[in-house]
Amino acid sequence: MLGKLLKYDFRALNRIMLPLQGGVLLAALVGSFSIRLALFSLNNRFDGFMPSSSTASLQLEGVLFTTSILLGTFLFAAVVASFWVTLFLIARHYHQSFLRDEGYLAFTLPVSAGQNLCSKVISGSTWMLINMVTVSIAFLLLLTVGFYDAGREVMTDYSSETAREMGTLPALFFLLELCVLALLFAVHAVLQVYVSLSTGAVLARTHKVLAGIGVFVLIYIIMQILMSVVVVGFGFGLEYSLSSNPDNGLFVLVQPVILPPIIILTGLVFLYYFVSRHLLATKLNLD
Amino acid sequence: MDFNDNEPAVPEAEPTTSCIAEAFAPVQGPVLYCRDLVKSYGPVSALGPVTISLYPGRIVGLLGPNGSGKTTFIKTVAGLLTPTYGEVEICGYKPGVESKSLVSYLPERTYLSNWMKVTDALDFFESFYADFSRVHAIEMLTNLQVPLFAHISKLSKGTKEKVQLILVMARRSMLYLLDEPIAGVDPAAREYILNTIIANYDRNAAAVISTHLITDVEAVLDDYIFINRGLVVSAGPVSAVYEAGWSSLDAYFREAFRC
Repeated sequence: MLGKLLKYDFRALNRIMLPLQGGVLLAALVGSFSIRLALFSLNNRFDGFMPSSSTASLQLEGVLFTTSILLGTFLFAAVVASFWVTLFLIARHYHQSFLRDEGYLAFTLPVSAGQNLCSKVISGSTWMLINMVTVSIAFLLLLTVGFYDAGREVMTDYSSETAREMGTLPALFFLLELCVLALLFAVHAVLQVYVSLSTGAVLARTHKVLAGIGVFVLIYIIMQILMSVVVVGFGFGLEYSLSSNPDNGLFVLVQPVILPPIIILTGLVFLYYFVSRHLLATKLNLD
Repeated sequence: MDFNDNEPAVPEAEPTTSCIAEAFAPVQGPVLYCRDLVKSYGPVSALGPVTISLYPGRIVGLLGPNGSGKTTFIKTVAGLLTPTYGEVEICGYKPGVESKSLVSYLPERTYLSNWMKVTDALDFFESFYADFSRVHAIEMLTNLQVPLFAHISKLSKGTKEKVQLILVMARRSMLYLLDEPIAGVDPAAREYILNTIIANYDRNAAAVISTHLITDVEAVLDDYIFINRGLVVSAGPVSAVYEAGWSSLDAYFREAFRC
């Protein structure tokens, strides 16, 4: 049954997510070319077309630079904002499917609340991950197309330096750790929204969405405080690690920074999942 | 049908428990059994306590004024509401995956996704319900001139209700829970819908129809349950109402719930 639920959840989400992520890539491409044009203009590459001292050339360069940089900045702001738009659309899908009229169908299907929730978590997390990949590609475009030579140089230097510092195998393992972290981050973000909306729906008789947003903000603030404490704590750990074992490789040194978030996010994912499932199975009273 | 012994609202011509029991002694276990079912929201009681058993082969009208607890009862049986107290069993199963595969539930609101076409809704029901007959559903949709390839969002409210009712009635379930199945459709379609209900439910199943439109459904009902303020105030076979001298169930209802 989970497979069938997934099929319909993906069909519902794909309709809105495919154009959105496509739009993000298009915005990144246009934004990158725009920034490249701005840098091109800044470097006075129009000298070949017009006399550099002419007023027309200077005005054209000024307009081109300003327009291009503004357009590029706006488009990349939109690329970054796509994370929140994606999360909002996933939240809306969850709300409509479970907490509004469609919930009457979802919760009378011969499936458990756990299967219903799993389907929403898998489909939502998949699209969060796709958005993260899309945004990463967008910034690769910015580096390689927008900043061209400078960007490529930075990328080559950074990747080769990291590989040299760590060694090829630990570097690959480090990459794997980052992928796991990204996956956990996506699942966590989705489940944080789900648990907030479910709690809001259970606690409030009216204005359930508002209550859900309130719960989300509350969890977000608590999480920020918790993460700050953890990061500061493990920052000291990293410092201790550096001072006590200066011969350790970079891979060992970054572990105190990368492992705690993995452990914390894993714990929160399970906590949010079980709370959401409990609320949907036993506490949810659809209006 | 068995029910709890609350005070009848209309003393005159009230069918008694014993006469109902004699009218049709159950030959097998109940399709639906509720014992001391209560649903409260904080201090406000929306339903119960209600004790009731429904047996196969009966179409039961769940009748009562607005806010009497009809929808709460149906939603609790369908597993959408968690009872505050008491228990529900459908063919011996507590509300859960097994019971939901035996219950065909029609809510009073549109529960199909707007992005779906009518054919997608057919696919959906076919995927999740082993007892769903696609051929039968298409036949009924065609009879009611519902466009199969139209998006749900483009259909009128009445047509959406027809689509939902057809999806629900195209299943071979043990218990049909129909909450206001004809409230939103035009009078011309009501007869077809009621005939659809009678033609499609089999004698091993029971059907509960909640409605205000008693005159329209009266002819298809075997039994009735009058509910008010969350309590069953009267219940029994419709024939007993006639035997007691009432001209119709509607007349009896009007007397029972006179304002």
